[in-house]
Amino acid sequence: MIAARANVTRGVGGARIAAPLATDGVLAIAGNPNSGKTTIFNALTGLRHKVANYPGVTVEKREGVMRAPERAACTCAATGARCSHDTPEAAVRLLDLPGTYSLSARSPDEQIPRDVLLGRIPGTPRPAGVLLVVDASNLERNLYLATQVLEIGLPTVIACNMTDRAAAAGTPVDEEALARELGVPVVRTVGHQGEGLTELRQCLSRLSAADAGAVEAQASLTRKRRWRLPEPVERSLSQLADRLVDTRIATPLSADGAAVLFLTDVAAGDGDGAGGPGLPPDIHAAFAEQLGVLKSAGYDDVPGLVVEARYNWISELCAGVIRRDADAGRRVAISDRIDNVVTHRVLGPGIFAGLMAGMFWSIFSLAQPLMDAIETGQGWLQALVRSLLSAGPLADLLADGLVGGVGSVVVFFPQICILFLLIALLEDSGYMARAAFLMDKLMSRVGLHGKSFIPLLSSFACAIPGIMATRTIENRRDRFTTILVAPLMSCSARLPVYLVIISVLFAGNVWLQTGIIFGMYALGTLAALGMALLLKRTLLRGPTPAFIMELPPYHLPRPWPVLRMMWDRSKLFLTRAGTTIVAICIVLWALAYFPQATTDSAPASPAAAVQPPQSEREAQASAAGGQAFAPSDLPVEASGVDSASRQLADSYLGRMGRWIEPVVEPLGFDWKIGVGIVASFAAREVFVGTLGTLYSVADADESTPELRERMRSDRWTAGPRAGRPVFTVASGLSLMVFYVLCCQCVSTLAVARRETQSWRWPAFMFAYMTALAYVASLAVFHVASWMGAA
Amino acid sequence: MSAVPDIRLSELVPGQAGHVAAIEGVSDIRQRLREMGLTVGSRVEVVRRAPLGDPIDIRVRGYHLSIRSREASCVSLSSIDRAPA
Repeated sequence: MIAARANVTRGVGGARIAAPLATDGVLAIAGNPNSGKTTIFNALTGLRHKVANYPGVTVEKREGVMRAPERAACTCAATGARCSHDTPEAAVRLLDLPGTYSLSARSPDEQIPRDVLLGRIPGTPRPAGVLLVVDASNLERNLYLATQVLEIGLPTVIACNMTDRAAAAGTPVDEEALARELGVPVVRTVGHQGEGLTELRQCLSRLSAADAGAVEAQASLTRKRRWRLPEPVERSLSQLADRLVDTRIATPLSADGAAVLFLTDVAAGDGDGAGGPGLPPDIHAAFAEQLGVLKSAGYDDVPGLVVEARYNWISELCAGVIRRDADAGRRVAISDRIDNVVTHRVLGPGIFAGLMAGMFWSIFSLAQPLMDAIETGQGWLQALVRSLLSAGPLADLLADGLVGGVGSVVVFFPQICILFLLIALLEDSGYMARAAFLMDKLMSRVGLHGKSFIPLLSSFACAIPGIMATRTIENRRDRFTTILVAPLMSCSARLPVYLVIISVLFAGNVWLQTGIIFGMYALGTLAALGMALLLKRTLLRGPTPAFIMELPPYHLPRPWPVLRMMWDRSKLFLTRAGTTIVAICIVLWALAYFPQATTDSAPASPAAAVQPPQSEREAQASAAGGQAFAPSDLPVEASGVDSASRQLADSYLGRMGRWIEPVVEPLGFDWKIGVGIVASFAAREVFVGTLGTLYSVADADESTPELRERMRSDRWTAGPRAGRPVFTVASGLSLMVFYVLCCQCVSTLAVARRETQSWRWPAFMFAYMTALAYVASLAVFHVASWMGAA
Repeated sequence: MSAVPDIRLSELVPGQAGHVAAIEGVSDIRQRLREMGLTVGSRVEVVRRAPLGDPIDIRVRGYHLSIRSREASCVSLSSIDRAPA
């Protein structure tokens, strides 16, 4: 690119370096959302990037290593200097900042790009330079952020991206003119086609290799603001800039740009107390004081002045940089034509419903074979462990505790991957914004945002991806509300529980069964919406946040970034939530395993009950000690499963079931159901397998007829209901309602803790859902009993 | 094009456009709208309404932005005209 070359020589110019020595300085990539920033980051770094989090917030920190360009191959032999250029470590490190429209900050998450560029984040050194990605087809708004970044004073290269789209719209950008106006190198790119990436690589490695003199030379060109504010405001700014330099909050080069940003942020205030500039109190006071001075001089809307002045300058600049075709503006973009259909009054909601139905179908049908395969693999692995080790606690710990615990995490993985894949497709194509556009009115009725819809809908499959998908919601209160109510949506793990109960109680009546299942899903949904409304009016009350959302142009999703997005998020589930879940599964295993019933042969393995029902148990044939609890009315069968039943009944878990019987008895549950509920914390569908063990049915699942028979014939052995059946319409409905509303899922709590960065919120989630479940089940049981359903 | 005193962006029907005269409302919303390009004098066009009537899809500085009627009513326009066909 001529523009690039011309300006590289001029901008970094004085320092045309003979041998580009790798300085190991990180380069930050900044840009608007939808500017193609991430595509360029992916293209530059390939596979080599890692995802972490900034401390205290849920903003992803993506860092990668750029391959060195061929032409910048090391020429250090000439200099004779020792050079690490031919080692991979010498390559340029890139930090992908979160996409943002402005460097002004109103929430902790929004502070990240600004604070990284100013070097104010512990553990993240100030970048050596910036790659600014600018969407050429949306230049004016993209330059708003670009000018803010340039004023921060770091050496910068601009990637003028999506030039193909700008040309198609009849508004091509003259990159050379843009480079001249802004005083930094501009490289023309079409990120998704890989166009311009070689030039970009060269520019970036020069930028990262540039010495301090070159940095100074280029920055002195860019640090000066080209737009002016009224003189009194300028005076205040220069005073404040000096303060920032004195206190080492900013460098002389970044001080003016930083002062502008902080002044607007302090003026905009922050209702939350959460966002804002995060300045030391005395500096904050200095800004507030200057704002007071300006206010008394008649400048009471400084942020407004700043935005207007900046945009006015940008408009002028764009007039000279965009080469407008004669018919520009009259061409109807393809994207607009798609929107005429996709957001059409009638077609729009229809297409939306179809897409969501398709999404569900995929999650359930495509994931099933994989889940079955994982369960088979888990069984095989457990058998292998047992065959390698002699029977005993160690073999049981490894097979049931560890392999089983890992299995209970991994079994969700296919569903989570598919869901994240579909979400990534919707996001990358631009449809996600339309979904929020279509659903916003409905969601606003319960005080939420259009963007809460997809997370809640995803929670029908599993609350984990649902909660993780709330990251697109900028407002903290809206996001936390969505996280807190997401687990009320009936996830796929509840379905086996519903199925086993309806098959016991309403056998043969397909319509009634369907109606009840539908009713449970409806109850969960209504509870979620009702709770959202309640939370937004009480605990998370605040001014209704603005709904201001870009509708980006559609484009064909590109396989690579989509798969990358899916993998990054899915991996996060495995590494972060997964470890907690495995730990708790092992605790549950131990509770079910100890104390061991006294036997004179190998111990039974009741802990398999806390594994998914399909998992293969190697029940050891042995007769348990006489003191073990035996449900009197249960026919004695194969002694292996029977001893497993006794072991579980006698374990700490079984005792916990009996301890909580007085608590759950008013809901119509006996101690066996209590054990099932406690065991469900590993994963809800475990309930079925646990009941299977308790009723001495081997390898039970929701379609095992034997289990159904035994549940139907089970009777209360003591208490006021002695002799009456345990499973009645009243207790069955009560149990289903309990499962709809109760938060018995360790994984959900672990993910909520991760996403809210605190144990407080998951604790609250657990408490309110348990209370809700208890009260609702109590009401259902008593109303149903009173109506004669007992 | 005709001068209309104090007409709000929320009052336009799809296809109509106007020039921003002022933005009111709480500072946070005001600042966000301005940063997205709704500055005094800029041209905004209402492209469509969502099927349920809210939010609206507007075009400003050559791109599409979606805002609720509530936010749109903070934007007063100095003049309205029809969008080019």
